[in-house]
Amino acid sequence: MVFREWRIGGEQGFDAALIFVEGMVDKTVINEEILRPLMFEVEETKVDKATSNEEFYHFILKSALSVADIKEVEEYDTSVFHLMAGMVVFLIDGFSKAILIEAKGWEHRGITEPETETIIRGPRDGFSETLRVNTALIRRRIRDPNLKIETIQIGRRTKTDIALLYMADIAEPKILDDVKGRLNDIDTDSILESGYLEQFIEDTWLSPFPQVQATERPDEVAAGLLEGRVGILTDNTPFALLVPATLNSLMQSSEDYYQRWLIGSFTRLIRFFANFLALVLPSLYIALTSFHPEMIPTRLALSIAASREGVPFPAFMEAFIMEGAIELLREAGVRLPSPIGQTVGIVGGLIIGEAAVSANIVGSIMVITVALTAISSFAVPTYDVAIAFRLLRFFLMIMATFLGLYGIILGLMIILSHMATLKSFGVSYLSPWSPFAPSDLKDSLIRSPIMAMRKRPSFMSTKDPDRMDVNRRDPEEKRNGEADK
Amino acid sequence: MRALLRDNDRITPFELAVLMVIVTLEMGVTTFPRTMTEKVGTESWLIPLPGFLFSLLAVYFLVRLSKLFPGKTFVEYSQEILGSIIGKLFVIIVIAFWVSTSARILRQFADVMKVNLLFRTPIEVIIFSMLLFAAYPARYGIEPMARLAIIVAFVTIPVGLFLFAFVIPQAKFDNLLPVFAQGPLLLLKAGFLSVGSLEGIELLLVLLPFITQPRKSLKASTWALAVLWSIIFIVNGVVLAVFGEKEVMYLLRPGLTIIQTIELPTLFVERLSSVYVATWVALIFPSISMFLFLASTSLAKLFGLKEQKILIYPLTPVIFALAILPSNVLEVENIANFLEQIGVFIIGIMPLFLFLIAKIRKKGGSY
Repeated sequence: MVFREWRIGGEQGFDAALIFVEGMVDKTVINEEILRPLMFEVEETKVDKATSNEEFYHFILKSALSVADIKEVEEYDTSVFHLMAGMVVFLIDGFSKAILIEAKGWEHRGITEPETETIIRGPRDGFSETLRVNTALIRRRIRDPNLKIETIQIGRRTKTDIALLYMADIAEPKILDDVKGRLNDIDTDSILESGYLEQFIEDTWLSPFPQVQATERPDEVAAGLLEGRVGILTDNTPFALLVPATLNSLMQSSEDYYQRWLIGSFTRLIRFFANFLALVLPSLYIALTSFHPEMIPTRLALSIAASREGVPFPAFMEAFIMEGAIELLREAGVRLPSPIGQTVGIVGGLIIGEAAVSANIVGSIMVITVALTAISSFAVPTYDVAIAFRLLRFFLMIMATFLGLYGIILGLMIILSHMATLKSFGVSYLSPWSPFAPSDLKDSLIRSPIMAMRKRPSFMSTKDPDRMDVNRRDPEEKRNGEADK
Repeated sequence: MRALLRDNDRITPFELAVLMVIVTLEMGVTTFPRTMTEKVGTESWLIPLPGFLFSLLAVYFLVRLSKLFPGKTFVEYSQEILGSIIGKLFVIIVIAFWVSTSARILRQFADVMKVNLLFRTPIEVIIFSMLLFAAYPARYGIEPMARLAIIVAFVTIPVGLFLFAFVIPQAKFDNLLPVFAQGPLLLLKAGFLSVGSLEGIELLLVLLPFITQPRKSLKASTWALAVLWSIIFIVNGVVLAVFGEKEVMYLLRPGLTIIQTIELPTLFVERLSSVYVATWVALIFPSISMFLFLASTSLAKLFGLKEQKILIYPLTPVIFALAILPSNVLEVENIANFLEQIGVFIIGIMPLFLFLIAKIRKKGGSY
């Protein structure tokens, strides 16, 4: 905290003080735009003895400071709050008001490529830790006055800035009110990351599935806003939240829309298939080898049996050992610095796998299963969903250990029932498949041509349902029609 | 939990139709070809025609009844029509029917599982695990169950019909002859009796007040019946064409045995019947939870309780006990036949009867 005191306006002037927090303000602004005019230029303009105190104060307020954003406050608490947020407080002796001068400036990380959601085609900018930079990234994408940004502070002690983003003429007011209501209900001393918010506002904590979408990509948030969703940006974190979230929206990557539709659809199908494999593959291995060997084609059954020859453990132990090892590797790889992390991956994946097979601890088919499962789970675009399915994989493995294929299907049914009960801000988690909305299926398992997606998702019940003129002719058809003439 | 529990007592007509289809497609469908052929011989593949008509009549009267008593389930209106005592008796019969039907389905299902997938697992374990898990969605009300049923329907019905396509090359369509040899009366009677095994229609007793667009409920249920009878038509026709009249009558579950005749050694999965049986797990699950929901909701209404979900876990031991009671497959089949007759009484006779008495006694609104 810095207190700078001096006398303003020479002999006949007043005592004055500038108060600011070191490190949160831009020193050049203070030196060049605040102190220099107040110390020298006020002197030079020679305050007339005749001018009253009131007029002098107004002169200072209106004409002396060459800073864009200033405001007056009378309450002590408000000025302290703004002081903590990086404003400069300017006090003049004899006046019961404080002038707050915006001179925020602190060290921050620049805009870099988002690390958790990399894509091949598409913008490379990701959110950073500064809220204003992040809102600007969205504003640059949507130049519409209907994009509203409301800022509130949450956290008794941290007073964290939270920005609520929505399209005023698209977002359904009920969802918006719901979001606002839940944010206002939060009573905690600190919000250090958007994950805190997520856990406070989600519909139920009794679920492995994320009911709020977290993303580092501004284009993803912009697309979400245009679908009628509500974005929540938190200061000090690059992770923005998007609500409501559905399983479908969590399985999408923004790149799906930048690629041509056939490619986008293909990658989506691959992704859903990968997610399914990541969920059931190890449990299928357990079920088929220990309960239903008759289901495996004879030759394959023989080669599995041959690979397991000499393995002292039953199939489920084998699966748990290898899946456990893979989870260890993954966690270790995340915690280590990235060059070492990759080495751990190679050491763990290749060497331990190979050694485990030759030491007859696991069969080679098991290693293939585990590797396929791990690769599949990396194909899921949202980390939160991938981790939920990783968790459920162990549940299914336990079910398969006790009840075989029947256990797996029963487990899948209970997962499905659970998802059917889930809602995110009033929207069903399984939309658009269930409740069945045929028009929204265009943007689910497949991503249909961009010309065909003329409406926003109907389950969001947006105020403005049309993305484009519904009756417009297809541009391709139009061009061909002109060529015929 | 706030939003989780709100608005979860409304379903769309489409969801009603899907629920009707899914609830009816239980283990009974695999024995259907046999029970029908026992009744009318080679004409059994024609039963869907009169069956559709009779079931449509039942649905029509149930929808009319619901219009006479808007917002009320059969628990309320049957007491209004028949008087408190006889009405309550009828409601109790229906609830007992649902409880014992779910026990019957669970038992048949466990027997099939034991023969086809889990050779050394005791049936008690199979029944118990299914019952325990099926109770989970039933606690959350009708909306999640409808959501579940849609996904199940879209996944299992195509898989089941796809597997049936492999059987068609073995079909000998001579087996479907002769037809109309015994006159139409026998066929009509069999069609009427077959209504008893369409448990999906009973959903209308309870669910009609929960439909978002009540005007469309008749249309939706008609579609459900059309889909159901088409599935039964395909299963019956193909099974009869492949096995012939004599063999069908000797098979316990012709609808299952037929899949075991397929052999496709080049596929990744060798025994297709195991896949088929596995899809039955997914088909049984929503049926059991639906019956639990129906029974608990009706019981709660009968006793004037506000919450139905507290009754679900008390119901499960009863169903479990009933399911393990029969000592062999033959007993199960006898019970199934008996329950089918009760079903005929509940959906074949009672709706018309209730409707007529309501008209005579001038009960209900003026529609």
